[in-house]
Amino acid sequence: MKGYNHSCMGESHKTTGKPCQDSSLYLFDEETGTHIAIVCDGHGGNRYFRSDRGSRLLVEVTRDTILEFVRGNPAELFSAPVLVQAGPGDHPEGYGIQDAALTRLFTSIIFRWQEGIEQDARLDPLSPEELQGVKPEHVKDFQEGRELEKAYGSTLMAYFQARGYWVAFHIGDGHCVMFSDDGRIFEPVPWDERCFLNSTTSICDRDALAGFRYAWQGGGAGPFAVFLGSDGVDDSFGDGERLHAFYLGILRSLVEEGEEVTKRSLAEALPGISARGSHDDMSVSFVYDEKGLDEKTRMFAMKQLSEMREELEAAGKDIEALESKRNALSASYSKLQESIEEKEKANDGIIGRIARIRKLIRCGEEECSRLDEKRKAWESSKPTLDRQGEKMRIELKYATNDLERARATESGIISRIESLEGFLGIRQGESEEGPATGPHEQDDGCSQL
Amino acid sequence: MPVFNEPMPRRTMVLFFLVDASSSMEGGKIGAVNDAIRNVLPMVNDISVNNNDAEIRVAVLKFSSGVEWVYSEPKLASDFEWLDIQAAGLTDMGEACRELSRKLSRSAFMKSEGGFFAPAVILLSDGHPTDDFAAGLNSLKRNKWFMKGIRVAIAIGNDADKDALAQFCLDKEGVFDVHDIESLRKVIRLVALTTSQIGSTSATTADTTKQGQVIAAVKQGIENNKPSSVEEGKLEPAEPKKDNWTDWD
Repeated sequence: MKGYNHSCMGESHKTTGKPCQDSSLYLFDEETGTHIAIVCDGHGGNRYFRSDRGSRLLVEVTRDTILEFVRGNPAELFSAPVLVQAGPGDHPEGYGIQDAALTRLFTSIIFRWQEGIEQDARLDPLSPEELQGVKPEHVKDFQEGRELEKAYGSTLMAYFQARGYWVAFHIGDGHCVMFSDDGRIFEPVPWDERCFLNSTTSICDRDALAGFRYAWQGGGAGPFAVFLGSDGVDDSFGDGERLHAFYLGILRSLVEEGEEVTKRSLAEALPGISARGSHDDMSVSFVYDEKGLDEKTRMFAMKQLSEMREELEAAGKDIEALESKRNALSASYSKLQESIEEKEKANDGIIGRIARIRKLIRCGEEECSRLDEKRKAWESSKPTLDRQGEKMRIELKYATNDLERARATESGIISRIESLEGFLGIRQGESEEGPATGPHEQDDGCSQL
Repeated sequence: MPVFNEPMPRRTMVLFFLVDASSSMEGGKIGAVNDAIRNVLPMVNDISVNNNDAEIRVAVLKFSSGVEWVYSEPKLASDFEWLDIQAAGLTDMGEACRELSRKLSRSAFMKSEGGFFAPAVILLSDGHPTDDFAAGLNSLKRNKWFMKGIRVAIAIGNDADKDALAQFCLDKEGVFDVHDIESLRKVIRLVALTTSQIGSTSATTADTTKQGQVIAAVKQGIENNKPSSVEEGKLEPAEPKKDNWTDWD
C-alpha cells in the first residue's frame, strides 16, 4: 500500500487573507503496518478564527490515537469479513465490543484535541485582533472561558488500514470514497443528514461524540484505494460521478505518469481546481494498493468507460426524445399558426362583411333619411293639397251640377225642338233646308236619307 | 495532467419568485409585478454570466385558486421568456408553500451536475392566505433547502398579511412593505438583484448568513434610493401608509 496527501489554500482566501484551514496527512507506520489517511477541514466563519490550528491539532491527535488504538487492540477484534456501518449515534447490533472500542477511540480524540486547544490558548491567549469581526455574544463566551472549541472548530475524516482490517470514521462534511477490489466505488461511512450545504457537524460540537459515524471491515486485504476529500473538493466536483472520475484520474495518473509526477501534478492542480470550482481550501489524502495498480485501474477505467458509453447512449436517447418533442412542438406550433392565420383570414372576411353591412346600414339610413325628408315634405304639403283637393272637389261638384243643369237645359231645348218639328212636320233632326245635324250627333258618314 | 484540468460545471442557484395572482392583484399591482420581473431578468442574467461561482436559474410559481409553475423546471435567466401573469381567484399561499417544498428536492428542481448553492425565494403578496397557510408553511419548514435558503417577502399594500409573510421569511426583517406601483417595481428589482448577487457567490468570511446579508443590502439599497413609500422590516407602522395603485400606465 502507498498513499499521499496534499492541502492547499482556497482561492477565496487570497482576498480574505485567511490561512489554509484544512489539514491532511498520510502516514505509514512500519511498526504496526498501519496506513493512515486523515483530512480535517477547519471552519471558515469569523467565530472559528483558529480553525487552521484546530485542524492541524486534530490531525496530530487523531494520528497518535489511531496508532495507540491499533497497538492496543488485537486485529482479531475486527476480523469479521463483513462491512459494518454505523451512522451518527448508531450502535450496530452484534458488534458491541467493536463499537465500544471505536467509541473509546473517538472519545480519546475529542479529549486530546480539547486538551490541545486549551494548551494552545494558554500559551497564546486569544488576542483582540483575533476577536475582531466575531459577534459580541461569542466574544463574551470566549472572554468568560466558554466555547473555546468553537475558535478551533474543524471536521474530521480518517481512514486507517491495519493488518487484517480497516476502519473509516468521520464527523462533518467532505467525502470518503472507496474503490473496492471487486470493482465497486462507494462511500463506506454513512452520511449525516445534518451536513447540508454549508452546515456541518464538527469536533467542536457539544455532543461531538454522537456526531461520529464509522465503517469497518476485516478478513481481507482491504480495498484497492480509498480517497478522503474535504468539502472544497466535492463542492468542485459534486459528490457523484465527477468526484469518482477525479479520483480515478489520480489512479490513472499513477499508472501513466508514476508516483512522483502524480503527486506534483496533483499539488499543482488543486489550487486551480479551487479557483475554477469551490474557491474553498482543498485537501486530498489517499491510500492505494500499488500491487495490481495498472490492472485494477484499468478495470475501473473500463467500468467508467462502459458507464460513460451508457451515459452517451442515454444522452443520445434524450436527444432523440428532445428532438421528437421539439418536432412535435414545432408541428403543433405550425398547425396553431396556420389555424391562427385561417382564423385571421376568416376574421378579415367577417370584418369585411361587417364593413359592408355597416355600409349598407349607412346607405339604408341615408335612404331612410331621404325618404323621411320626403315624408316630412309630403306631410307638410298635404294640408295644402287637402285644401286644394277639397276646393277641387267642390269645384267638381259645382261643375257636375253645372253639367247636369246644362244637360237638362239641352234636353229641354231638344224637347222643345222636337215638339216644334213635330208640329211643323219636319222629320226629326231635319231642317227646312235639309236634314239637321244635332249638336250631339256625330257625322259618321252614314247620313239618313 | 489533463485529467486534473477538465472543465468543471458551475454550481447552480435557483431564484424562486412566488407571485400572488389573486383577484385583488388585478390591475396596477400585477401589471407592476409583470413589468418589474420581466425587466429584471436580463440583469439577473448578467450576474449569472459574470459569476464564476454559480449560474442562476429562475423559477416562478403563481398562486391564486390553486398553484401553477410558469415553466415546469427552473430556466436560465437568459432563456426565461416572461409570460404575463393574470390575476384572478383566491390566495392559496399554503398550497404555494407545499408546492415549493415538493420542488425543493434533489429529485425535482434541485438536481445539477455541479451542485447547488442554497436557493433564494422571493414571495410577493397583497392579501391574506385563503387556505391553510400554517400547514403549508410547516411542510416547507421541514425542507432543508428552504431553511438554508434566502427568504424575502414583499408586502404589497396595507391589506397584505405581513405576519404571514414574516413567518414565511422566518424573520420579520425580511418583509419589505410597498404602497405604490413605483415602489413595488423598484423593490422587486432591488430584492431580485441583491438575492441573485449574494445567493450565487461562495460563502464569505462574514458570520452573517446570506439571508442577513441580503436583508442588510436591500435596506441599504432602499435607504440610498428611497422610494416614496417603502418601509422595511416594520410590521406595524404607526400610521399605515396610504396605498396608491391607480397610477399604472
